[in-house]
Amino acid sequence: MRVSRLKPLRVLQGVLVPFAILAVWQWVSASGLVNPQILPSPAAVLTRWLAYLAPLEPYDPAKSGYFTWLLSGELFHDASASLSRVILGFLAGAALALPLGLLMGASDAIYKLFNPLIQVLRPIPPIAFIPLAILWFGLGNPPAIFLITLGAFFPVLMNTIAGVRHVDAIYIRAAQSLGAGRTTLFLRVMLPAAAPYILTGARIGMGTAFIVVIVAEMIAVNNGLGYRILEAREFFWSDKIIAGMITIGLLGLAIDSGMSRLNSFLLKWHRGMEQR
Amino acid sequence: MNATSVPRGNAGRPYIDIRNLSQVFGDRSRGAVTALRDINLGIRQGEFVCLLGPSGCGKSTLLNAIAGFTSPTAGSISVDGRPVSAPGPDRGMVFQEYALFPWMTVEKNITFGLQIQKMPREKIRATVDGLLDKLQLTDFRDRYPKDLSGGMRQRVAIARVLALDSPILLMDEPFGALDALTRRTLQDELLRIWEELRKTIVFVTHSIEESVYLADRVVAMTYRPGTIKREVQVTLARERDPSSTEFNRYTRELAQLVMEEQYRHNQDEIRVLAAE
Amino acid sequence: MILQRLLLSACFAVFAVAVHAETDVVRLGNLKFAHYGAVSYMKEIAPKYNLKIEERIFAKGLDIMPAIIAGDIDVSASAVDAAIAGRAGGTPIYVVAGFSKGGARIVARPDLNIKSIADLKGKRVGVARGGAQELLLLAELAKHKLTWSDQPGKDVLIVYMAFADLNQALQQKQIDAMSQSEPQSSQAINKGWGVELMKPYDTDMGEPIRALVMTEKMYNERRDVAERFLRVFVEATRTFIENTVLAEKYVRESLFKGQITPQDYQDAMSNASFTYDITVQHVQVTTDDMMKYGVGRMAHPPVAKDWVKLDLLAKAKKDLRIQ
Repeated sequence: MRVSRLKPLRVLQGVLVPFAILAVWQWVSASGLVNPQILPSPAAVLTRWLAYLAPLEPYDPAKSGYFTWLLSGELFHDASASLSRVILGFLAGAALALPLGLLMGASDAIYKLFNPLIQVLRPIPPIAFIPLAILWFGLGNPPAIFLITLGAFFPVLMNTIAGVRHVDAIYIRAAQSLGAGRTTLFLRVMLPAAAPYILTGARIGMGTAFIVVIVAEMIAVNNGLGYRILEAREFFWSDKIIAGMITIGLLGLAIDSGMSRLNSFLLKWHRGMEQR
Repeated sequence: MNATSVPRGNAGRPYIDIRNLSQVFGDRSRGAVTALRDINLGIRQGEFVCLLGPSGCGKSTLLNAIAGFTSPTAGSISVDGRPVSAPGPDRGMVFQEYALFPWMTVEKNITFGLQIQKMPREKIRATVDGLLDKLQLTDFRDRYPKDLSGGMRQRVAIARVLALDSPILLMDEPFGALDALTRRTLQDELLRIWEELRKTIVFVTHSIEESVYLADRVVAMTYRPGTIKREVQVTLARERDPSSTEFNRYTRELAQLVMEEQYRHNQDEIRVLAAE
Repeated sequence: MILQRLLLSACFAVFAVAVHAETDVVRLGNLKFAHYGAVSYMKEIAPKYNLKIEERIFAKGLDIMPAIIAGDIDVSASAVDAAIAGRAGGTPIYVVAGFSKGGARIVARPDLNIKSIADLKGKRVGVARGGAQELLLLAELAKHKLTWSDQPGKDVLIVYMAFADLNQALQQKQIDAMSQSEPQSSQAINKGWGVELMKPYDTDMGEPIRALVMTEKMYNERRDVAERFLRVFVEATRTFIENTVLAEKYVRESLFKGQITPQDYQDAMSNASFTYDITVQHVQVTTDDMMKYGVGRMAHPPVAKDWVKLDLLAKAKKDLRIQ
């Protein structure tokens, strides 16, 4: 039985600022100073968020199990749509960036070949590719996934290159001295040694992918969290806009937490910056 | 002035045969540095040789050349009649910084070289178990290097090269980062292993006492360019007593040789500082 | 001598500034359609009435409403549907005039052999949300007893997108038909990407009228400016009705910067017309149909007679002797 590490004082400190903001917000809305269109009250946002969360139809044992029904609300549909796009796009981006990054990091010739193009393309935000994406891929998931792939690609690439280049030469020498050939050196030495950098790149790439999915959903598709916010805007539901934003924040937090845990697990051998 | 070593007892070439070895780094434009000049050295099989000298005398450079990490600018190195062209498991290397693979456990680090040689699983297990026992690492087999003390890490490094049954051990100031007590313990362990397995050991150190304690022959080197200043045979029986008169006769003799070179090293540093 | 000249220049400067300071600024929101041309033309003749009109182009009517709420726009052209939804959502506007009629067409892919609305069953139809074209499309589908949704599962799949993207989507076969405005539908037909299915004017809304909406603030607090504005509107519309050559030139060159051909414009204006008037009844019928077909998802639909204020228009028409 683990003793909880939450000290009352720490909890109070963490909750104080959000609570204060909520209180001010509620006061401003209740006072009628601001048009509810511009700033809906916290109560309205909460009501709308709960409605967003709740299942759309009443429970019908004939149609589905209880648990499935519980998760059938619009929010869950949107969140899973956005999340699946993020994951797909991220995996695609990482799958392209990882081999290229490993090659560019390991071989100076290959690096010189691709680096100029990379440096020109990298500063272009994925959002700027939207018109092109729609032109090339049409509507629906393909352009959205393309943009997300683009968003995840560059952080993973740059960090992989850095990781490979920062592999301490002494590991290479040790491995060579132990008889390692090129493949073994690459797969069993350079790759794990570069892992901390690569995983950092993955975490950043995932974050970027999440940002891009929200924007991409406003343009090309008709479900997902980004789309829902756009729809709320077109129906003048400011409370749903904020409810959607809060949901996006929570989902982003969950994703980042997940990535962080994954990192800790995979890098349990790694102590800070030391690698010796 | 070069000292030529005469192989004792054996007819023909020495086991490790270094002839007219020179190593120059850099080029005319950036200021060439002659690290080694015209080294002639023959090492017998089963001999324990220490390379002794201050920083900048090229002892590590010489060791790296034997290991095969660099190609000589002039001259040749051969082991058992075959020229050295690349690193390999016949010349196991132990580094001052341990160079253990941090992403592998103690056991996996030791297993690494054996897997490269495609040894059958059972034999690997037996070999590794034996080594863990020999170096008192059995309790730590599943730990990662980050959890180990310096002394333990160096034991793992030694176990790693012993696993491959390398006939030659190249050791680059392996105990330099350890405290005096651990250092003495490991020195004794090393001697025990050497006496048991009769490896050929080339040991680099800047500690006069260590060289006399360990070596059959101490090769004192000059400061830049690195040449062999003098070779001193240590004929004391092991276990050697560092407080004995005979021991101190050797240390005095070597101290004088080393201090001359240390003085030149200091002069060089002052010159460099004055030029800035 | 120099001092005299300096004094004179100073006087002129003060005078000029004073005159300029008397010009009232009206911030106008507009959309890029052929039949919104007269509204765009207003800024050219506004100085005559001591007005400066700053026009800002939006992508669709629904986008203008948040700008009005934020206080950045005083008057706007809009489809009635967007105005009704805006009003229901809390945008403080009045309808003060109608400025064009028609301007809607349902266009289908030529290769799909779609001959009537009933053939749209099982198809994907694109439309911009909040435009008159949306409500008309749904009314037509209802007339032919078809169900629709933006999620798969009903007879017709509605795909919402911007006006500017509809033509490309049709051309690239991402949608099978579209309910589009002018001149875009004429362009699509002339370029061969689509064939006309129908002009959806046979519902109880008839030809849809586009509205000029004004903030309550401007109507109530800057009445004089509002009146002058309506006069500019009436004169601009009259010019466009009487001088079709000028209208075409202005729309093609200033509004569309040469992107539409004369043929496109003429085809567009054969499907739309410039007008002054709108009725309370038209707004109410549109409101009722929006509720009936679930457009706008309004919790509390506005009552037309509460917010359709045509008095300024009537006055302007009288002043400029229009029937």
